[in-house]
Amino acid sequence: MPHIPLENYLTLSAALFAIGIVGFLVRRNPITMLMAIELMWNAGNLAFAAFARNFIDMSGQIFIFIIITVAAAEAAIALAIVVMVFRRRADVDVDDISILRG
Amino acid sequence: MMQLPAIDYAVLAPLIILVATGLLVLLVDLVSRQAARNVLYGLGVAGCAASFAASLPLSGRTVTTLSGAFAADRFSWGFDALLLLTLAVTFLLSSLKRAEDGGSPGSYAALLIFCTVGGMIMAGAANLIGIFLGVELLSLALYILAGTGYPRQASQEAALKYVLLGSLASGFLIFGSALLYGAAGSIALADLATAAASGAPLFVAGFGLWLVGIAFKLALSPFHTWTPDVYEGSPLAVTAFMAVAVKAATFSVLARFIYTVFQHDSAALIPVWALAILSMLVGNFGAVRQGNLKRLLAFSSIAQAGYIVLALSGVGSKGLSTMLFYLIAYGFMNLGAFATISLLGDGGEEYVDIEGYRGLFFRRPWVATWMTIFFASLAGIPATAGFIGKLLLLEQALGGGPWGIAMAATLILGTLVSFYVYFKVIYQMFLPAQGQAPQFAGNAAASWVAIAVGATGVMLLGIVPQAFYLAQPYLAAASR
Amino acid sequence: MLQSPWTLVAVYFLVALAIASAMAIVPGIFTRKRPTKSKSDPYECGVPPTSALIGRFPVRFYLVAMLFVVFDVEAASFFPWAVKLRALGGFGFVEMLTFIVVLGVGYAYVWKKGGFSWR
Repeated sequence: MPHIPLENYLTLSAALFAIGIVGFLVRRNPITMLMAIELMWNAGNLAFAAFARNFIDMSGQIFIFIIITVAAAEAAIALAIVVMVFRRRADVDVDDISILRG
Repeated sequence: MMQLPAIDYAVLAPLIILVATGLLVLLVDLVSRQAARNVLYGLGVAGCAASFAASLPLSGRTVTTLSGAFAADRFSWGFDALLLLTLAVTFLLSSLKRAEDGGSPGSYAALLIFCTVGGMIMAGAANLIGIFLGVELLSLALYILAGTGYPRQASQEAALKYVLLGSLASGFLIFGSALLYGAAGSIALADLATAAASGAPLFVAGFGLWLVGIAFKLALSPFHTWTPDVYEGSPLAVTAFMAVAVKAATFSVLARFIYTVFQHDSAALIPVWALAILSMLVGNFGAVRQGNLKRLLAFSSIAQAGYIVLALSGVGSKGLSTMLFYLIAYGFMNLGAFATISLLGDGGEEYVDIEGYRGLFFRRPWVATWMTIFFASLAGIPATAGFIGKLLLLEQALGGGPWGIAMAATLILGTLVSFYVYFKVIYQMFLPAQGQAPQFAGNAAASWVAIAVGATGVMLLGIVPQAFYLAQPYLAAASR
Repeated sequence: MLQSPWTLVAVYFLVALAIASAMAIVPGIFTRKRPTKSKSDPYECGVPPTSALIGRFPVRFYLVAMLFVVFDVEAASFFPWAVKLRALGGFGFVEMLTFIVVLGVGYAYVWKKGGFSWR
């Protein structure tokens, strides 16, 4: 198997992370924003996996396991909240959700 | 047979008891068709008491367990006590507002309990996994709790905003943790110290991203924008819990991280000080133009978060004592203030419009008096807890070099502005009453108990601060 | 490679794809479009629509999907444990039982509260 250097993994994960941030900032649909966040979390996972292989260390992989589990719970909760908001109004766009102005 | 990590169950007992309580609450809610709300909440309070009793033997110990992943020391013990107290008071406040637990007191109570478990994990977490797990357990449960007042549209919006921005913050936390792991080759905080000393770019980037995530959760400016909305939209009891427990738990993480990983004059900490200065300014000046009491308290909490950072700036472990003291004081003042608000308003409506407080003293003299005391303490009037706390913070910051002095100056400026903010509310209460007297909720005994807890705390901390000053809060496996 | 039975499947798949795409695209090229108001009504038979076009759709799919996501990923935690079951011994077994009990309480709660009922 050809050796892929650590830098390549990190570049990819940084790119994923950046795409996630941009996606979060650009999109106005909460589902799409959640997908962008998921991308950021998985960028972290990829970096953890790359480092864990580099160090031959298990703790990075354990971290990934925990992140994946938490991400599932987080996705379920976020979707439940989106559905709750959705039931009250026909479409979901964060710009319309503006009773509260921060 | 492989080597399994030794587990010290005595150290984990408070957590295990609390988790068991949460599960028990869920089961009781299932078994009894319509379990009385007060039974479930009473069970929760009993769980708090049991957990606290189990944590008492730990108050003098300094140990780590689970291969060094979880620490129990005086520092984490102090935070555990504060979190359990907050949980118990939140249960008291929740029993008043009928509509605010989403009609499902069982899951509401269980979520509050699991939130607190998350906070206690954060207080003891000695590696990056523990921190992440605690933060997420706390946050995930709070996302739901923010939305439990869901017949109100504002509560739905609060939940949506909180879950979106909170998950974004977690993304930063995860990626930062990954880079920190890459820089140090280990997830243990103690091992991060060597990487910090070398100042590797990977470490600096990782700490920066990690800090963004933590600053989001702490509502440090410029990552505070979710705070006023979420505080305003969430049910009152949840807001009180959020204001105290989230802040306390997250500060315990930040303090343990900074004290374990960095030397006190490390240049990597300058962003932390900058965040503190900005938060003090934004929080206090932002509070000036708020007409909604919950939003005002949200901005106040942003400013207070800025104040508390000062505790980290000085040399030596005294800063940890100061931080814990200020957070305890902050907890008592905030819980008390929210408890007084909970006595006003009728039914599900919250009484948060500051204009509506005009003449409150002549309609509900006791409520107005207690509220005045809590607000005076938040402002930092002498002989209250807030005053002593701020003195301790100033003392700590003045030992922290030029940045410490800059922060101390900002604290004084911020305090002056906050006098105006809090006294604007107090002034309203003592103006002559006008118009029709509003319908107030009845004299709920639970809220009065909560007020009594807060008031006793504020007075005691103001008059005999030594009793609550946890000297020498050793950190397990800390470098300084 | 050409002899493989899968070649036929692949060819069949491609042909089907081509025909389906052609049927979707080609008429669009040759037709003349002269829409009028009555033509673009939701019901061409003339019945005026009584509700918004984008109506509500049942949320229960989401509920099932969300619960599936959570329990599915929790199941992933079993795999490392299963691989190391013998090495972990009795301790690992008790630990996993605890995990299942905690998960089970959540499952029972969802069930009893009607999370699985197809209302």
